[in-house]
Amino acid sequence: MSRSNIYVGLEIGTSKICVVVGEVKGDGAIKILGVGQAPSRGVRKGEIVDFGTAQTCLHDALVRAEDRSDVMVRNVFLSITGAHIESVNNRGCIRIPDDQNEITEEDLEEVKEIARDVSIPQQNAFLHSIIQHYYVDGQEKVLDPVGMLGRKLEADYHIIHGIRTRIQNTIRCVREIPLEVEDVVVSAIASAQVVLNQEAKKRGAVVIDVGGGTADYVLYNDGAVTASGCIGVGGDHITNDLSIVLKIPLAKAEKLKIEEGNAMIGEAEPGETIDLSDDTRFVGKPIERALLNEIINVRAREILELVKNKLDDAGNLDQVGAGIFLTGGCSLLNGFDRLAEEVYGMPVHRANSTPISGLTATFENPQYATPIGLIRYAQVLETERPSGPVLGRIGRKFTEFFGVSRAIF
Amino acid sequence: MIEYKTSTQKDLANGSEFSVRVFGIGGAGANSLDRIALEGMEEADLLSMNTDVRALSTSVSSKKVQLGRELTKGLGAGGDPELGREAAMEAADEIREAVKGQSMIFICVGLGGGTGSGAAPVVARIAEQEGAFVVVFATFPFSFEGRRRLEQAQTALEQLGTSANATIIFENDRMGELILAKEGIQKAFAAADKIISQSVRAVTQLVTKTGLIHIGLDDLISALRNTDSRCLFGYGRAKGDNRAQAAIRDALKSPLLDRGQLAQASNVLVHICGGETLTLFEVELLMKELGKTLRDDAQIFFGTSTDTTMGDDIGITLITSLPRMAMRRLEEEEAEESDAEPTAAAASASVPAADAQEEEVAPARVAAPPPEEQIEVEAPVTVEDAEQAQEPVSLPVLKEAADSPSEEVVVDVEPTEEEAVAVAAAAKRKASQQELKLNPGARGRFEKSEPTIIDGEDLDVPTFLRDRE
Repeated sequence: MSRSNIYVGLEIGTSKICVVVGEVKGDGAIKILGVGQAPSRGVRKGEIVDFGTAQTCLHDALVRAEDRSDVMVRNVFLSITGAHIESVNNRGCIRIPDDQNEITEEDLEEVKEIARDVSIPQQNAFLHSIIQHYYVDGQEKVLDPVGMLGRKLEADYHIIHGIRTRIQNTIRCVREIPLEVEDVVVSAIASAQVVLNQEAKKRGAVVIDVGGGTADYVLYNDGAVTASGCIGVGGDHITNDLSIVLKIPLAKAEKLKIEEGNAMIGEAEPGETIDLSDDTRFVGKPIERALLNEIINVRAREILELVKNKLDDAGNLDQVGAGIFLTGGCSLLNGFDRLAEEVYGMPVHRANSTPISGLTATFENPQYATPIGLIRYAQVLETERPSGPVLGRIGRKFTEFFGVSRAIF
Repeated sequence: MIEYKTSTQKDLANGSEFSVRVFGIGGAGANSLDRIALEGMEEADLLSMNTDVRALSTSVSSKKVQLGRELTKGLGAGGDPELGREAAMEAADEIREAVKGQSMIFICVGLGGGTGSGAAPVVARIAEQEGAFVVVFATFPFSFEGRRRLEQAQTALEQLGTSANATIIFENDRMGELILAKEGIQKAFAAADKIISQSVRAVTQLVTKTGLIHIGLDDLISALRNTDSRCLFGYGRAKGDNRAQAAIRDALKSPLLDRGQLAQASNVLVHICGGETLTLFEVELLMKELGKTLRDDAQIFFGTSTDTTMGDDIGITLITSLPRMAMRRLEEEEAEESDAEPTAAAASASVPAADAQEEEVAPARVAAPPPEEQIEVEAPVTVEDAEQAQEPVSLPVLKEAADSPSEEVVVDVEPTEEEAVAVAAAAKRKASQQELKLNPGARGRFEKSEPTIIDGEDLDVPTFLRDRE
């Protein structure tokens, strides 16, 4: 592991397409070499609806990233999102044969197979199966059961799956650029790789990535993923709401949201109005600040509450010690963090990626959490590969999307 | 065939035999009927009725009834519902003969013209008197056919509503959604007829075929408990790998059903039919998907059956009706919003005639004499009363009128100014009843993308607007 590797993270978001080129040094440090991004078109709610347009945008972003990093990009790690992505927790259990005392790696593999064998809809494909904990004879939370003595081995897995054709479509779009897709990663999982450190994961944390079209979330409890998912509502909806309610064009609504909007109500003076000029310096009708904030507030609150409901269903939100980590472009909205505090009643952090060398501006912006997370994911995957399935915490069969096996580099 | 003696809600006329007959009235009705015949329908027999004897002779149905033999002398009703009604009354005995002993009557009719709008209410009334369960599939005219036809259609609908157990409406304006833009007009009409044909067949099979979890006429009646409201209907059928997903998507996309409206329904009937390959898992998947679009407390009447003729297909039928209250609320919303911008076709009719456009008032009233005659029954009401009193008062009267189809019920009253406003208000109410879209256009840029619906709420509609309700 002394050599350094270059990885590329690609996020095709609803509002922007972002390519991050990063170098993983021999000592495990990550250095960002370059970032290319382009406004995204042809993407709705995290899913590509117009291939041609999306590819043009992707190409723009790619060229910029290659220019800045001076790296020729061939392979990418792709993040995916969309409301079709679902997750489920499942426990697998095997009995160790009587003539064998010690738990072996084969047993581990077998229990993993059983745990992963959940019934998902026919058209869905597995994206990730992430180990939570092993249990040996009912004894809780064994980290590495290999070599332990026991009669019964159980494993809890968190399984994420999504509709196969939609995932394939996204991959196809990227492959036509042409770029080779190394792996697809659910964006919330990718974000969590950089947003949370080990300690936060251990204490329990929630990452909420509110992007343009979707709100992705992942819940860590006791160091393991216990819930994750995606809701097809994001910052675009806020813009859309403003456009409809205030009867202004989308572009103006977007500008208004970013420059003047606030997710907290009660911070505007009664009767205070905003005169926002558009690109042509034309000032339209004045907009009441209190109304603006209220529209944003109800939508933002709804998004946060929807996520909270999902997490409540998963069960253990009260075990979260480290708090909520907000990321994604929409989390930059004024007052969004305070609103989240109000909704969740626990500490809320506007997450920055944990220190990574290179372009500092990049990792301090929560918009880039996902693509940088992809590089971290790639790094984790690389470290795990030689050591086999013992640490195979996030590894999975990628081939099922293509039906061809990938050469291991 | 199954025995239905135990049915408590309705005494089936024919005792042991459950028989279904499909009526096609007028030109459009005959087209639907032809389509049904084309697709094959062994459970029911078909009967077409028309005033126009030439059109009648080209119909493929085995039984035919000519309306108004003396009155129109084999010609059409010429777009006059009054003529259509009289023609139907002339043939009342023949109609009574045709409906006698039938447990279930489907009436396929195109409203807005003469024969359909005039005769269908008469037929429905006779069928109801004979104790049949009456389901009406009505098509509404294109908006470009003008306001007058639309008003005729609405009047006819109101009359149909008093005797039909369920009324399912297809707006011709939505025909464009069924096909690709470049496809021929023939195909568009065929697609619309196909929807009606599928619906008729689905409902028939629902109540005639036994199932693993059976749905009977009683369940159907429960699901349609609000008889005077509009029925929502969705049917989807698909095969292949993702057939469950595709079928439910199809059903929810049905033009006879709007997703947003489904969230309002309190009773929903769901029937899943598949070949022998139907798996429990698929049923679960379907129901889960459907559950997302329904209210938490919605009562679901669930039925499933296997049918070898389905082959590898899977079909899902959704039937529900919107309660009056929900429809009222929608109307009020629309009334509030109508000053903003009346969208699309149906909305254009919802612009009240008396709404600031003085010159519009007179032509509108003149243009629609038939509806007026029906409404003027309750003359001395003020505008305020009109909105509330309209319903309870006018309905029984209309019912009475239709109860005795052999008499003409035309109350001639000199229109006073008060009345004119009342009529306008009524017209407005009736007109907007047709347009049930939940906040038309409120989804903005997400109008064309896949809706995000959680717990029956359409999240693409601004929270701000939803919260205010």
